[in-house]
Amino acid sequence: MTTQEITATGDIEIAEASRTNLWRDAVARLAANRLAVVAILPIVLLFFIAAFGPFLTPYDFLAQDFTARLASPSSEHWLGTDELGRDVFSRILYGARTAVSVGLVSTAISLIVGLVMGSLAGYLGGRVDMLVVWLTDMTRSMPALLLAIVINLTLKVPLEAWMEQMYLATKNGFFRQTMWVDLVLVFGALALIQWPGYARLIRGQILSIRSRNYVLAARALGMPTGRILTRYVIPNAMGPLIVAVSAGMGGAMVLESAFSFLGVGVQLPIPSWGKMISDGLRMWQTHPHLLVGPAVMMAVITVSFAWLGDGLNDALNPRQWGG
Amino acid sequence: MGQYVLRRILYWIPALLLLALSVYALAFFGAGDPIKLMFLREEGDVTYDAQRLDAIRREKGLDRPFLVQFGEYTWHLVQGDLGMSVISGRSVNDMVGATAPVSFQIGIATVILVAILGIPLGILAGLNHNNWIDNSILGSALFISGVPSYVVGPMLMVFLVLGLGIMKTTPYGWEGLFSKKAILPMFVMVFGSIAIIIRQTRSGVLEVLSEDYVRTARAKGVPEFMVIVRHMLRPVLTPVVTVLGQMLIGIVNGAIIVEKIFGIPGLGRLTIDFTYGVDYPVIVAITLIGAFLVMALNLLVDITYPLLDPRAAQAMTGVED
Amino acid sequence: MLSTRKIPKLWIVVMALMAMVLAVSACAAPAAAPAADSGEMAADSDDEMMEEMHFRATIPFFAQDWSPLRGGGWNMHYLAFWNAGPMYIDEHGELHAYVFNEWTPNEDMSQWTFKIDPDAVYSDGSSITAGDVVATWNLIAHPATTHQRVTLFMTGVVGFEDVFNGEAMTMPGVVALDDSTVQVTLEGPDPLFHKKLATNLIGPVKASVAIGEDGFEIAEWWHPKNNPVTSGPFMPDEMDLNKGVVTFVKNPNFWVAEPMLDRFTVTSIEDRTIVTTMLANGELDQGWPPNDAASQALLGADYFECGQAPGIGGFFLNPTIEPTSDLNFRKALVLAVDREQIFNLSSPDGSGWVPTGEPLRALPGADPNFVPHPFDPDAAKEAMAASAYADVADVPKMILAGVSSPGTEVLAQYMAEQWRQLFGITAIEMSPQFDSWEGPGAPALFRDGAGVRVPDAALMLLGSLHSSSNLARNIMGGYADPEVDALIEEAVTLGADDPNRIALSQQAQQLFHEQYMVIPIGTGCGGSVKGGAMPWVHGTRRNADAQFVEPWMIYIEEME
Repeated sequence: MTTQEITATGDIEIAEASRTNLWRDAVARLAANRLAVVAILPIVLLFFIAAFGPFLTPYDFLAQDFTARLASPSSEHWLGTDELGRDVFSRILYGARTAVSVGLVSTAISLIVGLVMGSLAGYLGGRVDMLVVWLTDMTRSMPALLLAIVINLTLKVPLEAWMEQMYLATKNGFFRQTMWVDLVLVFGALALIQWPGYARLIRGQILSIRSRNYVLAARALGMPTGRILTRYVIPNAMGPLIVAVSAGMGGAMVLESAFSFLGVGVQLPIPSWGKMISDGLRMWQTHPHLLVGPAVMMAVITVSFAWLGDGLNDALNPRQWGG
Repeated sequence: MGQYVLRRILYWIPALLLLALSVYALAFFGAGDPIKLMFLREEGDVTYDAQRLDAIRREKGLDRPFLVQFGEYTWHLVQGDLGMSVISGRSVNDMVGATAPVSFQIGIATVILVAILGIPLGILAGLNHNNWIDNSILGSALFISGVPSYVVGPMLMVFLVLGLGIMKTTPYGWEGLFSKKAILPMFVMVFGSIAIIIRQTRSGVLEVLSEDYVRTARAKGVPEFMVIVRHMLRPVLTPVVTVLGQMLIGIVNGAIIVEKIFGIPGLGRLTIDFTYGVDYPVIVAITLIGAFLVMALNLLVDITYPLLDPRAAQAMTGVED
Repeated sequence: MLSTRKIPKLWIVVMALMAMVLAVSACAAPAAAPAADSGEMAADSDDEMMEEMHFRATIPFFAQDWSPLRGGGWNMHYLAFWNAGPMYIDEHGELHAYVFNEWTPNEDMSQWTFKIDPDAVYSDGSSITAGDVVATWNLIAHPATTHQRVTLFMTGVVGFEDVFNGEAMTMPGVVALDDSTVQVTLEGPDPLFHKKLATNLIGPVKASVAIGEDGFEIAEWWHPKNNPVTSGPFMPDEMDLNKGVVTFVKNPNFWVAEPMLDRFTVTSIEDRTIVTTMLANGELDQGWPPNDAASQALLGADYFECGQAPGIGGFFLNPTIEPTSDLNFRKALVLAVDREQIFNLSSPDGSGWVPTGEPLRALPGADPNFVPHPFDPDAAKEAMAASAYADVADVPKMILAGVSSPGTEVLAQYMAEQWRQLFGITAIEMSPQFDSWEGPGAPALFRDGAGVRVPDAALMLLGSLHSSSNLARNIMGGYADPEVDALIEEAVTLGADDPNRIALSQQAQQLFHEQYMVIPIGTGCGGSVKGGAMPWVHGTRRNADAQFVEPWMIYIEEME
């Protein structure tokens, strides 16, 4: 096999497929990427675990068993137990929920903000564009750690105090769901730092597509803006966006673990992989099972998201199809 | 062009001032009280009460209104003085002056190594789209960068020093970029960020391969090597260089974890401690350095991008990243 | 086609070159390292290691401020190395002369006269004067100096409060009678005042070097670049604060004895597992590694051998906010926690003592009849039922503050789980850092502790249970029990050997104990007895002040 042959056959496929259906072609291209195909399984599994994880094990992720502290993996505890005798496997399963929530929340927030800002800049251009670029520069320079601490102290404390008041007044369990406050505030805040990436991506896409020959031609022929949008801009921008989201999901999870390492993260005793890794790191020489479980899960998931992202990039980026 | 650059640079001044104002305000109003934290962070029978804290604030001039303090800070800033640290009483100019060069050295060295290793690997992967070479390069690059640096760093250290005995001394501390101690942190930095460059190069190659001029060149029978060098390298490298620039800024600004683990006296190590201690002048100074770099890089990109990619000459000032 | 077939080969050549470059660069150091270090046991490649006795210590904090006038911070663990205190107390609680060699109270113990040792000199050879002592004490009392513990030593001195709150610069109660005599006037009798002063945290500094014309501390006067003058056995030589490396050398003019070490270095290493690695590898002589299974395996169980130290540590309950303001609720929380398990979690190797929550433990005056609160789930449930929070849905959220280290995280999660199992309480928030003692966000439980420098029951309680102490004022949210206060206040004025001093203290302690104010944690270990030093270091002894005693006696014996 030579490179020449590969590219050649690839080109032929595209030429045929792109005339039929954009998405079917994308799926075909994705299927051709072995890494991406491999990566889909762990990601599907992750979402499954996040939804049903707690029902998959006989142990409560909080229950402590003092007769079996720091037990090695066995048929009883598949991945052993931690310092407090809690089942590590159950905690990893529950941690998937944290990971998925972090990924979804922070990606969603940054995506929405980025989309709005990016399209504004791309379409309106001129002063608005200048302002958005300026804002992205500013936001990128914000120290993330400071922002997380500030959000913690200024928003979280009063909000949780308010929720507690509401709880005591109404006795409605909803107001005790402070894990969501944590997620939305802390990682929402981090998402606010990430939106410039998306905004610049969208803006760049729009600008670059706007100056493409076929768009210029369509415009010259009097095609309405809306149609240009749906016909060219959205399909063109969709690919990179999906790729960015896929990478962003993995990135958010890594960010969460890094912040856990630095001491800002999801409330104890809710399990998070990042926290489990940094705890396991203290004892990996004597009790490696505490590190291996969460670290492998974390690595597999982030790598899967990256592989999938790359596969999607190949499959969805029209500029790579020839054209 | 000169006028454009000048105008852009003029825009920096309000941007930097506004950034300083907002970060100062965030830290001032939102992050807690540095004087109280000074005592709270100390364990055991520390003695203080509200009155004492007020007295300390008064002595340090921290009880004055926000605008007075910020005004004073700005006045010093305009004169090139980044102020005095609240916690340590040291001159922030000295602190930043000593740490920023180290961060820059690490950043530049990482970027160079990443470029030397990553770009050829990326091109190789792109040329071998979807076969085993591509898969193994991309797969392993992404896998390596998927493992957090705070896991790799300490584990490698313990392995190499105690486990295998390859290293006689623990690579903790900093003796310059070209010392033995720099190898392990550089290794962790390079392999943590190489995947981004490989991916970027690879997708650039894939994109360019399908461009008409490459096809034409091939059809004309131009040798493949010449095709790569003459027709592919420039369009592929343009976004890659931008990403490298962003990587440099990222490392200079916040290689917090690697600097903390390996005891490297860079800006990242300052960042953690002084952010937790809410030391306004230090936080603002580090932010300003970061912002300055971001803006300078963006300007550079905006100037050079149209030159390299004539298609986007009109309006394209951003980059896909 | 031919030409294209060649391309991959070319790339392979290029890649092979790359791989070689990488391999060479990766191997260069390890290959070079053994060559450079061959034949040397100690890991420092310096040749001077052989001749020079170099003590390499480390702190887990990126210390920026090395002024001896701060009275706190991690670097203060080594204050004894470069700052001489008025007197010092050794690890057995014995008082020794140091800068002061004579102390005499007046009849009612409200005025003390201290004589400075005529031999006592600074590192520049000049004498330590009474004027320096007076100036130093005025300086550390003042808020601008941010001394963190000055009240422990100076409370009760006439005029202290005014200086403490920044309303005056000098305490009329401290005067220099002549060049070598300091007289301290107290507001009331204090038979143990001289022992309170026996600490390096208030050692005199040379006024002409450290204090500016405005009466305040000169910025960075302690930095070697400013040629500082110190009084301890060592003096600063080099400080790279950005790297976190600080070096001291022998003080040639130290008057007590010639220090045995030539050089003393403190490095900041934030990651404690790396400290373990470096200790095990012989690159450090002393450090504060985590007392966990991994470190024990690498450093040996002996390393962590500990001595019983007085002091009280635990999660203190805040009696000023809901729900911990309810005595029955507090009782329920306390009885639901098994101290044995707390101990097992804190001490992986089982060394130390199960915490009892007795403030006077390990002190002369410890109460033999003290009964710690039992682990009694049934009684806990009863107490909960008797409290205002019999219905778990009424329990307001509790914040557990001070949960800042992995060890305390484990303990906090253990307690929270006990309360969840027994009472169904789930609304518990654990926070490492917080900013307010009152209002929303005020902690219901706070982890901290108090020790005592002078082995005396009444002083221990004065510094922990009395309403003026930090523990009562801040950690216990403003705990003030008039009866406890009255007992302590009476006890501290009694003579050191007065049996009532102990009896009153025990009474106060018992009152406090019955109020269920603390869930004791800790193992009773005052750190490692050897001060975290490796076996080849000799003479490292530490007192209850967490200070090294007689650091001039420390020496290193090369091990084969």
